[in-house]
Amino acid sequence: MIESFAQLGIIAAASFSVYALASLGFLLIYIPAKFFNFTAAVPVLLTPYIAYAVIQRSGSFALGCLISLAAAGILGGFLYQVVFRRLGASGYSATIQLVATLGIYTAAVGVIGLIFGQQSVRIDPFESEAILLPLEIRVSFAQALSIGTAAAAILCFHVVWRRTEVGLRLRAMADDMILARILSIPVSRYAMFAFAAGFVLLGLAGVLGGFDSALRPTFAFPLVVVAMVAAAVGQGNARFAAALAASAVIAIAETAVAWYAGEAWARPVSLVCLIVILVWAGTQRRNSLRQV
Amino acid sequence: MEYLLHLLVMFGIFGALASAANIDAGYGGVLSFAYAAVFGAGAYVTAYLLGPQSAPVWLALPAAVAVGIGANLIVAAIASRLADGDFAVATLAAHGLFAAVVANTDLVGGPMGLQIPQVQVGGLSLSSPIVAAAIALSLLTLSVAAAYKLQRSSLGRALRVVREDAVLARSLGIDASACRVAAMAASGALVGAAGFVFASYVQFVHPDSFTTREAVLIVCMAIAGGLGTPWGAVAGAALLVLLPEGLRWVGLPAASEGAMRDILYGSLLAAFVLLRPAGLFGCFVPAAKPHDTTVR
Repeated sequence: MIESFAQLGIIAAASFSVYALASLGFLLIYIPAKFFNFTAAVPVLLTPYIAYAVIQRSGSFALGCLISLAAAGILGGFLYQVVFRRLGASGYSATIQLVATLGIYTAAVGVIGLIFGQQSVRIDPFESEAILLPLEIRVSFAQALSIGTAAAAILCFHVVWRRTEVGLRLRAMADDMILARILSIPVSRYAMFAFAAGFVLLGLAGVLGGFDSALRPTFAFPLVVVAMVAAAVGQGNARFAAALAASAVIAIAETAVAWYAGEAWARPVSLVCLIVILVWAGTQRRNSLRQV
Repeated sequence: MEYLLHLLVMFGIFGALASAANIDAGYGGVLSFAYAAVFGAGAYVTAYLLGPQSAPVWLALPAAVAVGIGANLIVAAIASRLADGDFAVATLAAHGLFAAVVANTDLVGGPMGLQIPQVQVGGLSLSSPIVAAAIALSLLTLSVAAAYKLQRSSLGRALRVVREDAVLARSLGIDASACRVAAMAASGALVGAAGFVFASYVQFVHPDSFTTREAVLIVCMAIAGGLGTPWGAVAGAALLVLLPEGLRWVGLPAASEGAMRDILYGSLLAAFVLLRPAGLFGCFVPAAKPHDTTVR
């Protein structure tokens, strides 16, 4: 029994590491975008496929990861300049802006489907090799790499966010964009940086997620749903600790549901969480407005 | 000829769905991504009643309409608690939930879907392309007429005030919630009926018929045609039903057809929002409101 729970704990930890990276990336691009946008799913989708293509050609896993993450960063900066600056200046409602980003994501799904086909592919470079821990707990190399990479990335993120000038300015932008502009922070440049860094984190989540599950053109959506839950928990503010906690709760809940009711019922967990949290947050906001 | 009739059926069904989306978003200002789920719910109820339960058609149609209304009213209940962008995300999540539930529930065939026997009314088969085309086009006409009537009614005027400014509407004594509930019940009935027409025509419902692609397609039709005008949905449906058919003449392999459709729908959606947000014939572009309670 203890062995089973410990094994489930390892699975939940591996899921959490992927979700945590996706949530951090999503919140980072939320700072300048200020609405739930589906372009966050684009790096989650494209990066592992680019990594897969490079690994197939060169045989080097590290090169595949480096090139794909660099591509994710460039894509983030490009999308900010081409789409988001324009959307931000348009004055359209958040829904209409969201619809545009959903269009971009849908087109990206089509491009991936056209290039790689609808068949699933895998990028697990370790071919399910595993480390045996005490109590016969099995940790695959892919799971160990996911957990280690995520821990390192979260630590780096924390240092940049809390201890550097860049983090300070991003925090100022997250709190009040107009005030940040008044204080002469070059908002556009930092927003582009936030997009590039957010896309790299989302891309990393995609690559690590690709170890665990087969890549399909629709693979990115569930990850972004989890990231949206994390953003909704913080009610849109850059509350990274709350986002990480939400990611952990979803990873544990999904693992438990998959164990109890089967893998097919695990994915709806995050969808239910998203609806419940959005409705709860909406009710809270309404009540606070009424009190005002 | 059968191919043309099939296109007409799809045009009629998706035109009605886009028209329903236009009623909610164009007049009520509530853009939902759950139409594919509501449409699927209507189709599944039809399939379940006509298939395993062998119920008569006169029972299946009202049941599909009732389920459409009920499902859209649940969406309306969510809408009343959420602001703008959050609502769109919540409805997309609700669509995902629907897809997951039908794909994993044995009662409705799970991943295998549900087969329906041929349904006859007065000696006419509902799966015959010519009959289905007549029914689908009638439904489209009904939906356009409903939108046209709504535009000129006091409810339509009240809805437009609610759409522009809910606080102002309330100060004018307009019950915003009641207006939206009425509009969403009407659009839900149309979507449920479209589900009935679809299920009785194709005689088979499957989770793959109600994917995120369909959810995006319906919204894309409404936006491409233009929100806030009865003809926008018709133009959007015509554009997006006929345009992908052109891909057949390009000579792409059948496996790439779905991917090309995704590229087409996605690009059109993004292009319309970025370059022509009012769509082809639209008169309304949802703008950010100063007192919007979104988290921006």
